Amino acid sequence: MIQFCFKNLLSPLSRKVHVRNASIIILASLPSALGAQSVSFSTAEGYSSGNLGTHPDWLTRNGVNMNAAQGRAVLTSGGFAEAIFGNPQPVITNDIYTTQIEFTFIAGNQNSVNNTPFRDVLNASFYGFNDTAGSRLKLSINRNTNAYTISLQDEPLLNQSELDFTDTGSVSSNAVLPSALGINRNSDLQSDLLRLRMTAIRGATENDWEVTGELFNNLNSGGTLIASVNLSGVTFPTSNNLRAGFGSAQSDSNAGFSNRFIESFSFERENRSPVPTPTSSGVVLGSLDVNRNGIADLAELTSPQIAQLPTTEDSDGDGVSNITEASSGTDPFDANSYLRSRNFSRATLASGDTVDFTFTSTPGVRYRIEHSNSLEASDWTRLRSVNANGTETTVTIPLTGLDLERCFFRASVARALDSDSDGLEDNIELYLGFDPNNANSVNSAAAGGDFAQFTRLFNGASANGGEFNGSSAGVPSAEQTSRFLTQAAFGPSEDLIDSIRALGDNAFSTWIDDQVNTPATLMEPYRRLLENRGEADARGLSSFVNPNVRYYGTRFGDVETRNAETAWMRQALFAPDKLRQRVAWVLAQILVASSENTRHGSAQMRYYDLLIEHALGNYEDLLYEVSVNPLMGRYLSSLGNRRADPSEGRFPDENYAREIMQLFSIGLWELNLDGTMILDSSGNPIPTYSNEDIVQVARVFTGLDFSRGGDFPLRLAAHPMQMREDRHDQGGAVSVSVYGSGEKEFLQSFRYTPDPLPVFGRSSRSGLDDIRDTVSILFNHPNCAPFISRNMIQHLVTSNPTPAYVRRVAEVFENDGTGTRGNLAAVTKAILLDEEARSLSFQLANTPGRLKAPMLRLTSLATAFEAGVDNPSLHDLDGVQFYQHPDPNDRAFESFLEYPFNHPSVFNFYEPGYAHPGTIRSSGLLSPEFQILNSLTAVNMPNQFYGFIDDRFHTRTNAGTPRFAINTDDYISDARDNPERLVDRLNLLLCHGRLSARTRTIILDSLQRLSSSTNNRRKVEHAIYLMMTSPDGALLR
Amino acid sequence: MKRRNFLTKGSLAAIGSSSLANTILNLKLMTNAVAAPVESEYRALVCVFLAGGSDSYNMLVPTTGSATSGEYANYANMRSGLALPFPGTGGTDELLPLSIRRSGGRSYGLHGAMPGLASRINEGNATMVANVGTLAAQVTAQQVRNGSAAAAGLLPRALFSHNDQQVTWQTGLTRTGSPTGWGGRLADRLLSRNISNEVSMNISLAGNRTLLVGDSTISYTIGENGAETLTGINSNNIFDRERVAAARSIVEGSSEHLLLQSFAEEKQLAFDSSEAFSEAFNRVRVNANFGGDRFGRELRAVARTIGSSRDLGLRRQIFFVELGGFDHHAELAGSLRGRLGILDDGLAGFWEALGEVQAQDNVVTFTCSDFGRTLRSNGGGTDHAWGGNAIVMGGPVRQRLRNDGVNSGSRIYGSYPDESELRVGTGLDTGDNGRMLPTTSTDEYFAELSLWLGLSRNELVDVLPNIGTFYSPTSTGTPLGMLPT
Repeated sequence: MIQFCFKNLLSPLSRKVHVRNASIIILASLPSALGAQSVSFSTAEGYSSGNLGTHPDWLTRNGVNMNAAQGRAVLTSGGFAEAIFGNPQPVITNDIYTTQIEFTFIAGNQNSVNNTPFRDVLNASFYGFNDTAGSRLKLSINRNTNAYTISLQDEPLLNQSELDFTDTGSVSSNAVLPSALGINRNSDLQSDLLRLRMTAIRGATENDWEVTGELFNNLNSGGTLIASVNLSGVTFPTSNNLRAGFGSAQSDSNAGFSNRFIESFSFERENRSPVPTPTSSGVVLGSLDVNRNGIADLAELTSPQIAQLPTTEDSDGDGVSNITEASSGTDPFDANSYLRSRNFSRATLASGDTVDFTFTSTPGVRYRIEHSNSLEASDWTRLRSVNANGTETTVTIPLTGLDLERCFFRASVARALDSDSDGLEDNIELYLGFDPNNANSVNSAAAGGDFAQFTRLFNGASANGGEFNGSSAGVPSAEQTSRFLTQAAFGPSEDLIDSIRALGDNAFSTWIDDQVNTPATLMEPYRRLLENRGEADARGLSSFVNPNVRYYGTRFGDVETRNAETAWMRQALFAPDKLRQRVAWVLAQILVASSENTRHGSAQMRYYDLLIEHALGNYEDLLYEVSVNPLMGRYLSSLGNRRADPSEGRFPDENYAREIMQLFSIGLWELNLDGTMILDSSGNPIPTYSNEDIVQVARVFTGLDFSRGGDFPLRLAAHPMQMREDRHDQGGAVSVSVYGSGEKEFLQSFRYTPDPLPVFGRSSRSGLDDIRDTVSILFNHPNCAPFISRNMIQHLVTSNPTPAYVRRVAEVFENDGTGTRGNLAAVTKAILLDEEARSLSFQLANTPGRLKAPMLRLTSLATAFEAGVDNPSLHDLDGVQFYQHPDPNDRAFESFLEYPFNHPSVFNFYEPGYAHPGTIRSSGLLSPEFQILNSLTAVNMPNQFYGFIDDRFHTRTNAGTPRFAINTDDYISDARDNPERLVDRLNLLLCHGRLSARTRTIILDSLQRLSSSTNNRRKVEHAIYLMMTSPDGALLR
Repeated sequence: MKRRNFLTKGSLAAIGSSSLANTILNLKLMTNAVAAPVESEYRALVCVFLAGGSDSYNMLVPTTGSATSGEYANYANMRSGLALPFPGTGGTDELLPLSIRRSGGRSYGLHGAMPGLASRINEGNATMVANVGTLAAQVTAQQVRNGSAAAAGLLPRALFSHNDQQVTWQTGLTRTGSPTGWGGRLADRLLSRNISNEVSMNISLAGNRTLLVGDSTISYTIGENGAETLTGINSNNIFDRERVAAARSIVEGSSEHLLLQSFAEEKQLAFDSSEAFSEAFNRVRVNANFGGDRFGRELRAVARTIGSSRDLGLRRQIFFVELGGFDHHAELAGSLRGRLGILDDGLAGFWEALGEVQAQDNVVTFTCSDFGRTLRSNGGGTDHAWGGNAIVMGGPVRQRLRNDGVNSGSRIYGSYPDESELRVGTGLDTGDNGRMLPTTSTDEYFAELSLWLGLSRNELVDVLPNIGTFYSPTSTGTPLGMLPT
């Protein structure tokens, strides 16, 4: 960028010069085809007098004469007189046209001549089409005897009728406007320096312009907005050109005004052809290009769309090509981001003075400050170099020895800094949480230091396992595999990581397919074992089941919820179908059937097996099976629900009807396919169902009951509910209403029949058919795809998916490629292989990711350190509160607030729409898992984890010598001899390679202070604890 | 790293960057290092949230007439199999008669499982607010029934949805979402009453709750044993000391990642405040019996915190405690009996404990619930409805009664539906199952409590934006006439 300096800039009145840096720069550097044009005129540039019409850039009507007076251009004209600066460019949609005029005036004698009011102190105008036809928009400051107004008027040429839009904006009365103009500020009638600005943006057609007019007082630098007007839907025939001008309706020879002093005038066009939505989290820089695609890596990481940009074009129209922007540190999507200088203020210049030169800069970049007398390319001399000290850098330049007649300064990029010479530019290191002053800040030198860590994060940060934005598939790194396992399973171990990587290129996709084809591991065998009393006796478990309860016809024990909790842990840790188990856990948090009022382990395991069976199957099937499951029936009280009998004052229970819609299928509000809410014309969300719909759907869920007799636990566990037709509301077939902007089908045929007697004429239909139909209707509702997809994404990958991500997944829910709707295997694969789940740019950005929920952190700890592998049946842990701190006064559930089968309500442990107060909420983000993070759990949870790490996972020792402890044998020697390697290995398992430099240093320093101890196991545990409870370990990014 | 005063987000905290423990130490020296009773000007609100929608038309029942006539008979007819037995008839949950004054001859009974509350009411130390619920505008039952109120956008949003109504009762806004609760906004304006705001005045026993979140006030969560401290914090073992020090140091880092940074801040807050809070809390003992449920233990923790208020430098506090299990779609009778028993035991113990810390006249306990339940049963239970009856307990209730010349018993505030109103399909029913249109808005209810806590009248609208629809802050009386100011 270039900065002009002038001698003798100021007039004797000592006001600040408004040198329009940006416009000058652009004008000087652009080829004519692009961008903005402007002319700035002031006395310094020679337009102080004479008829503007003589200048080749101007067209005038009725002549505009400028006289020189007091060193300024004075407008003295009569009638409508405007100078028009032509814009021969084609007018393009979205382009912004701005015309601006700076001026002062003297109010003078306020008497009117011939009693006609005076108008137009001054105006700025846009002209369309040509200067004799078409319309004109005129922003003017008018004076009518003692009153001032600002108005925006649309006038046919030569016809001075005003249309009726006038808006005084922020000035509420005419009494205020004169003082806002500065009139009488110094007991004189001279105004302050004022600025009229008019902006026009073309919409899709020439009838669709939006115009804004503003009046500023520039007394304070930057200007104070006095008044503004705004119009939309303006018709403005412009065809081939749009012109701007200024003028006045009144001549200064009339009483009313004397002298309008014109300081400057400009007319600019800003090219804004549509570009992808910018992320623009800051400036980008660099030459590091690990994936060798010609685009700086930091650019790719911070602006995901940048890789798709044509390098030689200029997407934001700021005059700098995309590739230049990407390599020089500015944002190719932001027209305001380019290297440029700030205002350059100095009263007078003489040798020995200094000037402050301020320019936008990029941290981590070194700049050369250069000087030239001629702007010739070869005539630049380096004065000095400086490292950027922020987003703006100011350099004080002594003017000694410089030719001050004409002198130009510029800052240009020398190079990106790499302070620790580790091959990663400082900027990249800061972005990743590495230390730019330490080559081995996140990874030991022996393992390749920071650069190697960066490369490892790169490898596998894409769906095909190849490099981030790379050209081919590849084998993912251990770090990316570790992260994948935390999304797709219950966390990594070294063995699991190796086994996935052994699948070669496209490992993630291959693994998912393999998992889909792996048979389901159910809780059923374990459940049966416990139910079979003899078996339980033989395994020494009889004291853990209730011996007094008999299932009808068999000697069964009463399996309790705590037994189910053991079963859950077995599944999570040892079942080979990990993907399925993980998805089942997600579904358990959507289709919630808690133990809250039904602490029967058999029933709970039976229900959970439903989720496991269908986790990678079809959602419609699952929803139906859940609807006729007795545990769910009891939990949401559809079990035993009977059709209405008004004579007894009894009406169908609405609980399940409400929740199947609100939570299990369509949600409360109508959604677009991308998960965003559809809004009505007043901007309000649209409900998907009404209370009447609930009443009607409640009629469907009548007649369900236990399917067999016997003890309550057996009845609850054994079979799906049966339909008792004599209790079912037989009123016709089901069709659906959803209430809102779409189709208007109503539950019309499903009306209540006052006759309570069963109607057995419906031999071809049963109540179960009604339920099946209702489930089908809800499943096929357009909301179901985005509602369920978004929920699953939040549980697996990120709390804040972009609407585009939700849409991509919802589309797969709607059609898995074979025409099938609701294919959960396909949906899961789409979620996990989506760019937003795999790409490094999302891993490093500030908003994607999620707080790992407690059970995931717990199972990850157990998985990583192979807890229980020598005792996978975990039998001897039955009967105790499974995951419990050794202190019996400490209940794990209260610490975690998340605990399988113990959802506090049907709304799960935390809700999808929760946003934690503070920065998260004010940024418009969601953070469901934060709902169970509070000042109590923030301390209790690490205390629990400490107990598990230091001791073991269960509490009481009454079942022999049970052990369910993590195995740290493999890390002892590193704790003793090589703490850096210990930390690196743990980083892989617990933080997926994202341990920050700062946290790593704290842990290493802490281990150093413990080095004199010989208890090396405790050192390992120390490191595990600190890492897994740190933010880097607790969050999945 | 500069230590941030993150317990209150704004700049309203009185204390600068000295450590919390030192501050408390100084206060202790000022008060002779003994857990003293509350200061005379201490005031606290305790919100007991009955989650699930309590069937409060079986909590407070009209007994005017006889078992077969008058208001009671109408009630029994509407509620059919769920109706509670008339006083003296000897049935399960038989109603306990209440001594209610200024009721125009109407009489009331309380669910038989609540003898403790009945005593409080008859002493004048408690009352009930009748038929209170969320309202967006003044509407009639007819307008709701015929759909015109909904069409005109005059109803609270998502009326019968649990989580939405629970949030609405806490935000005080019926038609839009809000990041803050009325209790948080109220606290924002009372922070200056406290000597120290290093520990948040808003305390939750139920985790993160919107009620307590303000623009600068945050909600501080404790458990039934108060705050927790990191394991090993007082240990001399080198590993324990290193672990605690390193864990604290790690969360003092900062990150650009918004979720990560919030996580770190939450932990930092917890680590820093738990020690000082625990020190004050652990010195307070109460001996009252709260019953055997966790709810009772949580109220005990509230009582102990109130007893620590002098040491903590707090003169205004708002507490949140939750009791769940009220969503009685089925098996209403037994389950409601159980829940109300727990509630009653808890409140009775709490009253006694407040006596031990001499705070009975300084604390107002009040209930909220998602909604009331349908008068009409679905067989064994009831469904989501709207207006319900709320409990208010505290010495200030009695003070107001005495000021108003009521020297024994209590009053019922609000407007309990009469025989023509307590109906199904007509009267105040907004549908055909007996969903009572509230006759007192939650705005008025919360405004009454806020004014008592010390909110100035001209700030009412900042805390309850829609209060003007129901009550003019410039009027001379309080919205319900229930509490002194």
